[in-house]
Amino acid sequence: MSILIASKGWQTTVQDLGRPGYAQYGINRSGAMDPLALQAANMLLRNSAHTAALEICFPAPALLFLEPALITLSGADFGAKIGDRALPRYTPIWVDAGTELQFHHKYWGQYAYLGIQGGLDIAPWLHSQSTNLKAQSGGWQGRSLQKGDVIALRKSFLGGVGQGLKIAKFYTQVDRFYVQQDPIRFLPGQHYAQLLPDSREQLFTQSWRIGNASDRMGYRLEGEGLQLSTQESLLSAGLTRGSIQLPPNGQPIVLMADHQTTGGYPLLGQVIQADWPRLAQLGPGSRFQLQAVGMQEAVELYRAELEFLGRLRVGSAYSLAAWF
Amino acid sequence: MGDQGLLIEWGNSLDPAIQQQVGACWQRLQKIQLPGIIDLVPAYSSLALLFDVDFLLKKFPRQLPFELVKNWLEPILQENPGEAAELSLRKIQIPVCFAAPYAPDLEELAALKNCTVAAFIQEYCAQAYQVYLIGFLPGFAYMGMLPPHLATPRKANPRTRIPAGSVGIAGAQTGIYPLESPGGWQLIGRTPWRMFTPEDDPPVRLQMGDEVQFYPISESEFLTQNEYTDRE
Repeated sequence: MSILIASKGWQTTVQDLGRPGYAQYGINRSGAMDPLALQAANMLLRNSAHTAALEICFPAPALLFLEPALITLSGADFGAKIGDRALPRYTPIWVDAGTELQFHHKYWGQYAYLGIQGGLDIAPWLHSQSTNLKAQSGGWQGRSLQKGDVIALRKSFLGGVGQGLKIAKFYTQVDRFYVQQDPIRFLPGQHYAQLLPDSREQLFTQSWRIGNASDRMGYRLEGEGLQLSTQESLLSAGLTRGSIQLPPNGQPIVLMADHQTTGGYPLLGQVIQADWPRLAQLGPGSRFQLQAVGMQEAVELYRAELEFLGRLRVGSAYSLAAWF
Repeated sequence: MGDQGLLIEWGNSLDPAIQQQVGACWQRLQKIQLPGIIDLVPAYSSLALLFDVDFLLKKFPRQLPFELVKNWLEPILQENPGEAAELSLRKIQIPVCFAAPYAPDLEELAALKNCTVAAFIQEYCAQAYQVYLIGFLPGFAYMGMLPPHLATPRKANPRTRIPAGSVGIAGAQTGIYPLESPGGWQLIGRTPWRMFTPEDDPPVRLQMGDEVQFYPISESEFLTQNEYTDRE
């Protein structure tokens, strides 16, 4: 069972939920930029939440299935088609051998996921299949997929559903987690209190633009520069995804999946885990506002995502069983 | 550190005594293995703890993961601080070739310090350095402190390509590039040892708290000991 990369995309990597435990050695966690989309695809396919998928950016690759497979598309909408048939996201799809999956247009979002029932047959590196581009390790040969790569699939425990393209009758809705007008929420952090009064107001009132140099390492925010009341030089310390750094130029950087493990810039706070998926999908050129929240609210918002995934797991198990 | 981690801080100063405490606390927490803690990142004067919120919310649905971990930590951090301050050090000796092709900045640095290259090397190798932090790249160790006489600021114009294994100086710290990378450190030599080996677990040679001493090797020794392949 395998997939052939028939044409190269801008950046296609293998990602699961990441590689914890190695930050102490300078190896960042990596993992899906939109963990909610990855997990939703996995739930719909009866995979474990940690199963790796292809994370696809636009321009997207063309993918030729050399064997039949049960797939689910999630995350960004890049106008997926097989032949003339447009494929929906967030629903299982049975594809035949010899079928080519193409993505025609960037309608919404930055990171699309191709989940596959059973997952990818790739040796894990340090207990994860995520690609670590900086360490040039993990995933598929530690790099982005190129034309001609053949990615083996694990044997699916499910049988076939017959000949030809088949789209399941069940699906899920994730729109409520991606409302574009909603602010990106963060927990104020270590150096937030040192923001000058004007800068604090600007942090909340201005609409921040995500700069073009943004990528899997970090999203660079553009707006009126922010200033702290002190300029002490800080010793480097461990960092988390979501951290909002303030470099000397006053333009914040939000750390994303491939962030450095340590750093010494002042930290205004951390984007809450519940909002990582939505922020990831906004991408360069998008604008948003920041809103401070408390720990209780942050945890409840994240819990809502976990509960959604839990219900999806149960629902999909029945629906898939009924389909096969 | 947001809703998925917390940072234990010991002020903001570079102090060997504080380093000892950070290292000891790190080793202690590695031994205790609190449930749901997935990353511990020790640094100069802080220790970051990252936790698995999914796991903690499942196991302890009524409690905020942050509060829960904080409550677990408090008694551990207060427990007999005398004993906890014992950090078990590993001592590691690393070969470095200081021959000109591997040390593009060495001659200039020696001239700047009004000494011969040989004297510079001798002074550099005379003492052990402590690993303060692993960061920037997989296995990149920030080590110190250099003798004040050898401390040198970074290069004004960083290089775009530094070969893996290059040994550099920045301020009062020294370090080894584990991967080919751009960078601004003053390059004074190169080790034949691979500092990052993806096939190993853990895949890096150094960790925080290690005591490192360098010893000079000749160019021919470098070539026979060279562990690098073309990929790096």
